[in-house]
Amino acid sequence: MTLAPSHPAATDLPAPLRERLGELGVTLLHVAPDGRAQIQQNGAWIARLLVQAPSFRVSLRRAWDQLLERPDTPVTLWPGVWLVGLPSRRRRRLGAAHDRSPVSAVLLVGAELLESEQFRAVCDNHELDYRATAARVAHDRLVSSAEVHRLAQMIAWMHEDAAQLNRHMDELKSLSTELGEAYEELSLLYKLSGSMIVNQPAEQFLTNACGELQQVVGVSWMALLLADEPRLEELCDQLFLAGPVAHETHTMRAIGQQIMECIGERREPMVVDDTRELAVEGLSEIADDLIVIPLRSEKQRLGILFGSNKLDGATLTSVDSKLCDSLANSLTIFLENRMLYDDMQAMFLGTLHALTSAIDAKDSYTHGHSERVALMGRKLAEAAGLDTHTCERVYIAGLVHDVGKIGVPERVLCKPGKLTAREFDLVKMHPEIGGRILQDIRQMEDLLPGVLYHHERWDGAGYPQGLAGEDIPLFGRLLGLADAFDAMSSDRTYRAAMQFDHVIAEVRRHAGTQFDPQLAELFVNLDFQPFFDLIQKHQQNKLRRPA
Amino acid sequence: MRTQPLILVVDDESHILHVVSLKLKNAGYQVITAEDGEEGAAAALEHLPDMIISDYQMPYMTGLEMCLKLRGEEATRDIPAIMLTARGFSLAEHQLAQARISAVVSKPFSPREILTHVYELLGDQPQNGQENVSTP
Repeated sequence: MTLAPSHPAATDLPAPLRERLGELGVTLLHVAPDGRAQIQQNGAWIARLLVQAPSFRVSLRRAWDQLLERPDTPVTLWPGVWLVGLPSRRRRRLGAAHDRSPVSAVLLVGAELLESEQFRAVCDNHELDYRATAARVAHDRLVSSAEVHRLAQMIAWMHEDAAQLNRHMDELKSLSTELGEAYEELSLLYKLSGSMIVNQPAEQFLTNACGELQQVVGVSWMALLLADEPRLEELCDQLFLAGPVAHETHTMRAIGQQIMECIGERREPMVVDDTRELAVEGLSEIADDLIVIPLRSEKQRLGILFGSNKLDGATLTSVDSKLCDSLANSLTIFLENRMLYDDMQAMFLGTLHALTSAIDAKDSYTHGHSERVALMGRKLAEAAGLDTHTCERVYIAGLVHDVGKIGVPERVLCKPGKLTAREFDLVKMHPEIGGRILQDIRQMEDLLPGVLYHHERWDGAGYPQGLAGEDIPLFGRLLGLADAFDAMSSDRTYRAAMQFDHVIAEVRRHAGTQFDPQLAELFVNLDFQPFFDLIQKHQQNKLRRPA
Repeated sequence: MRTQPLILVVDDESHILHVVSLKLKNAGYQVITAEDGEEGAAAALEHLPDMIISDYQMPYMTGLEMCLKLRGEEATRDIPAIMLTARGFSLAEHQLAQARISAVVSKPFSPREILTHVYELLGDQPQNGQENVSTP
């Protein structure tokens, strides 16, 4: 006779339980509600005979519901034939009416079977000699009826433990996955907060942030478009991009602007599964799905982050949007800080301009003088190769270099014609008065040399201290030159402005006596157009002023 | 014979073991773990992994001591190693050179970054990895 091979059918049994049952040598069946059974493992010969017998199938069909009920109690099918059902907890709870797919069960055979009518019928059915078959089966591992209950209980415990272990493993895996994502997020935020320094070039920071996010989320590209917000200054309307994209930057910007329109006032991240649903021109060519994270301050829209196409082919999920969102928060803080910093800078410079205008207003001839000295001082500092920050400080020192004139009587400052020695002494006090006015402002400490020493001369004949050569601080030498140049180039109470060529000739002539010779050489080669533009602007302002 | 590279992960914090193991397994590597330096050294000598990822600060034997010990054994002399350290903690150059540590990653680390180091040291990811395989 031939017996059908056993098919290990799909099973919900935990793998470790199957292994253990295998080692115990018990037969594992897969039983369908119609009574058909398949051997999953350890098909003893007797088991194969049984599952093929129609009478066994009938008994199984009748007992099927019981297999789902009490797993710790064996179901007695025939004398000496027991089944221990191994339904999942969920199946046991929901019952047979809910789920009629095959259930796993352990088949236990005892010696009583060999004496039963049913066994004889099976042998007849298979055309086997009853005695020979019984003798052969007696060699198989048979259980005694006394053991069956204990064995069933143990198998049920093993099943329960294995299922619980499985659940714990699944839980551990999902927790580890979640923890891994949290690590990813934390490490990203650490990295970014470390590089979030206000005075680092913002472009660099934002480009890095885009790149990091593209890598961490694992998308083929990630872009950041900043809003058309004037307070963002040079960042306004800029696009930052990480990853290869088929479109040109201007097309990407246009796409970003359309997306920004689409999301309107939305604050939460958004995942779009199919970009064709969004009416954004050119988007579907580079993106199947899309993740969009709005960057918003309390009051206004600052920009959007948007990216697409996971590199592993998966779809974008809420985990990705959560990651992007926490980065978006950092970016928003960065942009807000930057705007505040810029506001403060603008306020500071505005205040200084107001202060210098107030000084210059004391003497209509010197209108705009401080601003022009600041401008040319900075240009000279740049030509001398000083760093950007120092050049900016020279500019500010230029703005305030004459602040001490507040302490000089107006009748002296505005006096037409030559000053008396006594009057000149009063004028000569303005650098030190200026120094005293500013000395308590900590943020302006570095500017003091420019204020104090812009009337010193290279040959030591200047005031207030008569310093000479390189003893005169650099800020003093720079502003001294710019100051003298502007004085010669504009009308004064005591004389008219000199011609430009004449002024340049004077600077050259006094190099090495009044001026630092090296700076004088750099100075005469500067581009003076911005200076003339400024003069023109100041003259127009002057004309508009009421007489 | 091993079909996929075997990586030994050593850390006394089980959550780190879980996160790193899972990331590596998902990428197609075989992983074994140990919870301190002594156990790690024993596991390395027994299984001769293709790579070691170890925490620095551990009871009984630091990750650095463990690596130094393994460098003294013929069988484990050339196994590449990555060291995990607490943020802000730095190991001296000569120590790293002596224990032949290929890369140092500070905690909290990015699991993705660790995987990048692994790819760099062991070559491309194994064939059956799921990390960059597209799903239907």
